[in-house]
Amino acid sequence: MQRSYNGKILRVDLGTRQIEIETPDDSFFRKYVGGSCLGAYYLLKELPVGIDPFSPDNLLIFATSIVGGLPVPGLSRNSAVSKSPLTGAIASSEAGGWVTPQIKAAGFDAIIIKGRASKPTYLWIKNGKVEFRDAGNIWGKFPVEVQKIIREELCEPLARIIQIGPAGEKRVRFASIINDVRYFYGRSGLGAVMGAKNLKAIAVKGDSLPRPLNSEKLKEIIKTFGKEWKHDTNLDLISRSGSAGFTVFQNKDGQLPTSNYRTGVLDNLAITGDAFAIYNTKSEGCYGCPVKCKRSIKVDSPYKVNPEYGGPEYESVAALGSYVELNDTAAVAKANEICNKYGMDTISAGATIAFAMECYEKGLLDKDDVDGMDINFGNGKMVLKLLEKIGNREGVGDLLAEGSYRVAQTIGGEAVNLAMQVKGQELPAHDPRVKPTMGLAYALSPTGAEHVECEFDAVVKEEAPVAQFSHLQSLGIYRIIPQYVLNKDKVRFFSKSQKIFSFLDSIDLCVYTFSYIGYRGIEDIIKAAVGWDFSIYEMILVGERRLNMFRAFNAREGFDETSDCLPKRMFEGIKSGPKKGFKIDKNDFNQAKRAYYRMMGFNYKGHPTKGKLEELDLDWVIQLLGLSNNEG
Amino acid sequence: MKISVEYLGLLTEFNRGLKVEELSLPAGATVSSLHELLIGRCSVNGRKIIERCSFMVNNKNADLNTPLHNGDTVVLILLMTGG
Repeated sequence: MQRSYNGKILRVDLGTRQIEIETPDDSFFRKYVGGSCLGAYYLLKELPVGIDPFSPDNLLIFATSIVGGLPVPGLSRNSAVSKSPLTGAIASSEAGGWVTPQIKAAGFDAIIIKGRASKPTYLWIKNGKVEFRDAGNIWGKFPVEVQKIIREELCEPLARIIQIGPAGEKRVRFASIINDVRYFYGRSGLGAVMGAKNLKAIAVKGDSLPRPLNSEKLKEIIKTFGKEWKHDTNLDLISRSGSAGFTVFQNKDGQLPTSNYRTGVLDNLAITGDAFAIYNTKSEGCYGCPVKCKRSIKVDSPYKVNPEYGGPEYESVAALGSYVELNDTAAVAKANEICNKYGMDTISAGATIAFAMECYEKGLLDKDDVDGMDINFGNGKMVLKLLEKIGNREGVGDLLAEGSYRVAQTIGGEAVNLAMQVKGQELPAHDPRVKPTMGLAYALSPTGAEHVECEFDAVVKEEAPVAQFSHLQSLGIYRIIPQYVLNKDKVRFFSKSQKIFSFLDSIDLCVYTFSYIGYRGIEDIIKAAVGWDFSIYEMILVGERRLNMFRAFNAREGFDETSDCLPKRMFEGIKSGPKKGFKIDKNDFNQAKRAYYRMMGFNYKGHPTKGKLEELDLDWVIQLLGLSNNEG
Repeated sequence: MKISVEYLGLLTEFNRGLKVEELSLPAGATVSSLHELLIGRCSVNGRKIIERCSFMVNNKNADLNTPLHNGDTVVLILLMTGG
């Protein structure tokens, strides 16, 4: 039958070097669709409870979706899923780029990796076949060189390479996984899981993409997108400036997290989109996407920045810039390059350094603790030095490589309140004190503080564009909600949009292109690709199924309502700037959390309940959790 | 009365490259009046952008009901959504 997925899951055991191919039936793919929903299915079903994320028994799963890899803008993404060494919770991180169609063309929808290789290894996957290859000559090397060597070794200049940098090899707890050198599965430390498996890289290529059911209809969808996308404000803006273009607005409005989240303003802001544009060499995009929201940056002086590693996006500009008060475009570009070369999440890296700087300022760390350096806010050279030390786990870098939560626990006392993290994962750069929905997202995301979890507050505020509001009405959001409040309306808005975002992470659709494609577009794409009548209702079911499996995984690992929290600082006022005094009311937050549990059908601990799991056709999870009729 | 309107970053692209302009508004005008004026003179794309903005008056938060006075400075803030 013609359809846009293969129906094949590749299993690789690095320890035994065994290969298996699993062929679930179509109903499995309709129920779990792909991405981190499919990944969560395997992880929850197969991972022993309480396992060390660095154990060979941990699984590392790369999953595409039923429609992943089609040349439709936004469908170039896939998900990496595992147990996180940063949080101990389930982790999912999505990356775009060009690798997804190659996984599909190689004959697979997902790759499940288990075990640990006895020596550094890379996998070569081509047209249904898998080879284990020696990675001794590329271990310790940086991504650009690694990619070149592997392609030359295989005589495959178009092979796509998923790999880790030195930080992943050294198990930095926020190490990223890299594909095509400049696309990142950034969050939750999945690069360290790959490193613990002695797996340096996966090279993949295929010659035959699965053929969608109705290619003509898909061509029509792609053609219409090509003609119309510039009329979509979100896409137009992101294409023109890249996300770094928003830094200036965030700062002017007093909500650019600065100085370890103490204030929302970086004085005399220099790290603007316009300033980075001076160094732009070109705009780039993912497979099949004309929007080209990515930037390449080339700097020659005072630092040399290689454009092949890509330029910083908004989150990286903030984390490596304002978090540490580094107001120097070239230095931030260099810091971004170091993170990308070593393979480290820019958000966690910047936030962990900002945390260490505040500890140093307050005397909780002294000079001897930090290799005799003055790690003051705003010191660019020091930020670059610290990043390299973390990437190499050298000196104080070995401590900071554990992430802010673990370092805070080691220092103890006041330090615990200075780590801007949830469940061990550092906060992205949207201040919950100004965007309360982000407070819910950070606290309630099963993967730790996460910003691509739901819509933002601004889309339901008074002046919100009619088109945007209309899209929310389809979800049952019927009235505008003042931007800065945290009430039951806001919780309803969060929980409904979280389900849709959860579905987007299941089909691995880019949230930017979703703003144009919308629900109807997704229905059309799935119908053309696989022939299913996939309704908004079914999208929400998949989104909920994913969230419930995530929460079930975490429940077994001991997470509960006390894990769904925010750093103390979020309940204190922003220190200065236009948003001075803005804070989250703790009572409002606790009420919102309880309302969320009720709306989602979770119990008071935030765990899935039997009734909800039955509704979602997840009876096997009921058994796994050992839920009785009285529970939930 | 006369007010100054400041455009940051890529908003200048939608305002003929101007970073600051002076506009005349009738006495008693509010941010809503300015909002309508800006939307009324924009292209379709520009209008959609303005609808995405919030406003600050003299570096303080404002909403559509905030009154404007002679000599005020208004900044348009493009609200970020997404990643």
